[in-house]
Amino acid sequence: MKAGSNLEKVLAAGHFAATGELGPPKSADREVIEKKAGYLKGHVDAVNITDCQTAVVRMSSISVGTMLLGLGLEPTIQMTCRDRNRIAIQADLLGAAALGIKNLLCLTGDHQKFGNHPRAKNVFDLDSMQLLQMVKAMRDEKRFECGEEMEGREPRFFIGAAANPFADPFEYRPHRLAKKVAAGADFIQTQIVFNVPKFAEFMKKVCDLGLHEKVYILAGVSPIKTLGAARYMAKFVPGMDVPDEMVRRMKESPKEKREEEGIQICVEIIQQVREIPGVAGIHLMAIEWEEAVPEITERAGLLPRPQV
Amino acid sequence: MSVDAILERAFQNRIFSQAFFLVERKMKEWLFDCQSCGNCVLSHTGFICPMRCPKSQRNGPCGGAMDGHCEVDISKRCVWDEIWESTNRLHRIDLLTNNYEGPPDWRLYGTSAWENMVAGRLESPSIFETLFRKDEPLLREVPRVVFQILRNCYNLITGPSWRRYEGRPPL
Ligand code: SF4
Repeated sequence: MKAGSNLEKVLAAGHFAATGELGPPKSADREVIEKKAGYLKGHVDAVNITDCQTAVVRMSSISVGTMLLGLGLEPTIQMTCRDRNRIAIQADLLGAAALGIKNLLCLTGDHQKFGNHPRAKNVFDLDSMQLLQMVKAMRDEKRFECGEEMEGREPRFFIGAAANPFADPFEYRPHRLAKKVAAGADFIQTQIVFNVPKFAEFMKKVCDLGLHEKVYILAGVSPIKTLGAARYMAKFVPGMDVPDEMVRRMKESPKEKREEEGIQICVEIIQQVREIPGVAGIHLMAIEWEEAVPEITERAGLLPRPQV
Repeated sequence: MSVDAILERAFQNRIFSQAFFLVERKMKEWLFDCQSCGNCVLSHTGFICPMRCPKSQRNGPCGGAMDGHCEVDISKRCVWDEIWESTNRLHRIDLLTNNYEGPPDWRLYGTSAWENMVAGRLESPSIFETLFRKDEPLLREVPRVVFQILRNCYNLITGPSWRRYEGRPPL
């Protein structure tokens, strides 16, 4: 056991894992967190808390993670390189570990241009690979990035990284994943999968490289709520591959039934990716639609969640 | 005496080192759109400067590149797409798959990478070691590398560049 988190135990025991995602509010409302946590509790093994995703200012990931611990859920905090240099990242991670957080997802972060503060100065002192390496060295070698030895207890995290199987250059993606594994990733959460055949092709290359034995790969899935969302994701979201087929299915179902159709598509995708060799679980990103999580996990046959 | 040792001696002369940096900086700006980070990795990245990337990605592309374009400004090509293409042309994909670039030393920003390399301030392997493959005769390798550099440079001058403001694309 690297950190002994619930997610790690579920994966190590060979269960098909399910993680959720919770988007913190753009305010200081604790009630929002409690409400959203209610939908996720008991339906997923761990909950990712985004770190100012799409560069929009929100409640910080670590503070929401602490609230979730109090509510009896297991948080996976996210750490991006956009807002912090290596000093701030390490300091925050020490604090997070002391607060009892055990899962960490290391990301590069969205560019601030997409957010509500496009005039801000970014940091990008490290990239996600270097961040992974740094966190791993803190855990396994008790060393700070500068090489200095750590006195006392080290922060022990189950370290995650992201992978996008659909972005360019496609042939490089499995190799990049291999680099992330070598740098220290224990689990991988992928970009939302809509194009299952392309994902299967990617997974085949990943298995050829033998990576599925070294790292747990959780396929990202998400329900589409409206036709507009489907169209927007297909056209404007960088790194997202939504086949025309999906957009057509959303379009052809009657308006009142579209949410239902979105959930149905999501359930089908979960069942399809489950069959792909090397997939250790799913990561359900029902952002701003946490109400859908109980229904999706129920219908996809992911309940009850294993107790380990 | 090795090239490294001669250069190390020469760099101790202030005037030489200033003049050298002036030439190095200008040449690398023209040829590679170099950002003078002082931690040069050009020889590992197919002679495309990764510091042009808006996210300063030194270990591969972020998850946003689509159809070869950068997510931050779709009128520009993703730097890592260019790197992938260039290393493919040089038959050096191994550089991208096995290589890990450590965090840059930001104290060196705006200084001569050659001087830093010769003085041993960089951790990554020396340019001399990674520039050319060992298993191919230099006579074949050198023209290929030079041709590729010029080709990248041509693309840089004619294509959309991070150095020029070309308006903002619609979000
Ligand atoms: S798309 Fe390419 S150039 Fe643009 S931010 Fe990502 S890695 Fe950098």
